[in-house]
Amino acid sequence: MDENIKSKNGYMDLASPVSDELSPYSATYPVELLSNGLKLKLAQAENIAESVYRAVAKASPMVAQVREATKKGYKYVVDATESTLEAIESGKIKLTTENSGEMYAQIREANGHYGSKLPIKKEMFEKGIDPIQMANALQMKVLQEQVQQIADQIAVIDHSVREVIQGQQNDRIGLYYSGLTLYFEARKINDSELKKALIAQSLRALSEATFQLGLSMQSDIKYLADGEFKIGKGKSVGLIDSRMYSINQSFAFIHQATMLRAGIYCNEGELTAMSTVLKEYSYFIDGTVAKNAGLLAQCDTTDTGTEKGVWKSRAKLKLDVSEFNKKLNAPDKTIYLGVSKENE
Amino acid sequence: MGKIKGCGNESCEAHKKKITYKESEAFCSKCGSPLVYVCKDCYTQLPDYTEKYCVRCLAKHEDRKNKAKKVGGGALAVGCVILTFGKKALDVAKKIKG
Repeated sequence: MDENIKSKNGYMDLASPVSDELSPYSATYPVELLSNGLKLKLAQAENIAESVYRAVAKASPMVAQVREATKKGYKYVVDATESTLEAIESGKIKLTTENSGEMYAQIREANGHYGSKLPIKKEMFEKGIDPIQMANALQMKVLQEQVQQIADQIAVIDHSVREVIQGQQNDRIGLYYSGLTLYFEARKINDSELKKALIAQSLRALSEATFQLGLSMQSDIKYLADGEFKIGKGKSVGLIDSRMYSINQSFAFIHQATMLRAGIYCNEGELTAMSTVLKEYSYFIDGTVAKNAGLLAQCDTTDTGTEKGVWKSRAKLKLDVSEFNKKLNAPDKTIYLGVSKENE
Repeated sequence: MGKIKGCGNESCEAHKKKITYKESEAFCSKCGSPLVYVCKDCYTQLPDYTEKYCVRCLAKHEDRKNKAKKVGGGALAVGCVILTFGKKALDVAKKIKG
């Protein structure tokens, strides 16, 4: 990727720190929101992976994990020593289940009373790790490199789009701003129900904006491809330029609305929905932009038609979210934390 | 017919200076990159099957032709008017003289 563009889109480098203050009035807001969401998910994955590793490594031999990992997607076995198992059998250690369904181990003291819970159990449950959340987080960690590649590709388009957005105000982009404002308001609301309702409305407005602008863009491209501008004898160039202005504007706001939707889903922990949005965007680029990149480059005064030109670089965006989706939707992502003998 | 080529390598001097090559040439004399078809007016890279101008420049040429036709048509009309009035004026002058 062009280093110059990469340096100007430093916030899309997922290794960079999370931006503290995001202004919804900035053209970079959607992509920064997505970037921050991804960074937080990766940081969360890092923490969870570390705590799981510490807990498992303390009590489980590596062989057991590797053997289970080849059979099931993710399986961590908390191992107990032979003496611990004997202690359980003899009743010195009791496994108790609380009303919540969580299991604890307690050691019987000399006076016959059961004492404190086993440290390993304390560590796992007091931290409140949700196994599904943990699995998602671990998968996010596995997919870190892929997520960075996606972010890099988005940064290339984002750079060219922002130049178009400056000073654009008309009714065609009203829905985008409606979605943006609703989400900004939702972030400030304390009531969870109202917050959810506003986020849903925001997502709907953004989705409608994306599809309205998408159709408008397709219609403009068809106009150019069919050579309809030739009707205006002596005014063809003016007609081409006005359609290109409209196409550039539509594309810019489709990109912004898509990034904002992906960012909202990411920040709400809906990673599958986020990857679906990115997949839809990839299909849109493939079906609408890539097929007509040559024509658009010829009609756009700012394009050189080369591989690094505006439209050909946009056409190259192929967000490979298939692997990402497959891993997130994998049915076998339960993490088993149990007690077993080493020689089993 | 009359298509021209240019260097597609953006960092090459030939590309920056918009140096053009004949259609028969295959590689850039400056950097050795394969040559590509470019628009004769604006140097935008074109696909192989296209004409010598890009869509926008071709439209610009058509616009000029149409404007020229309009101007030409206008000039012809003015010429005809002048000729008619001139002839009439000449007839009047002849009558006065005669």
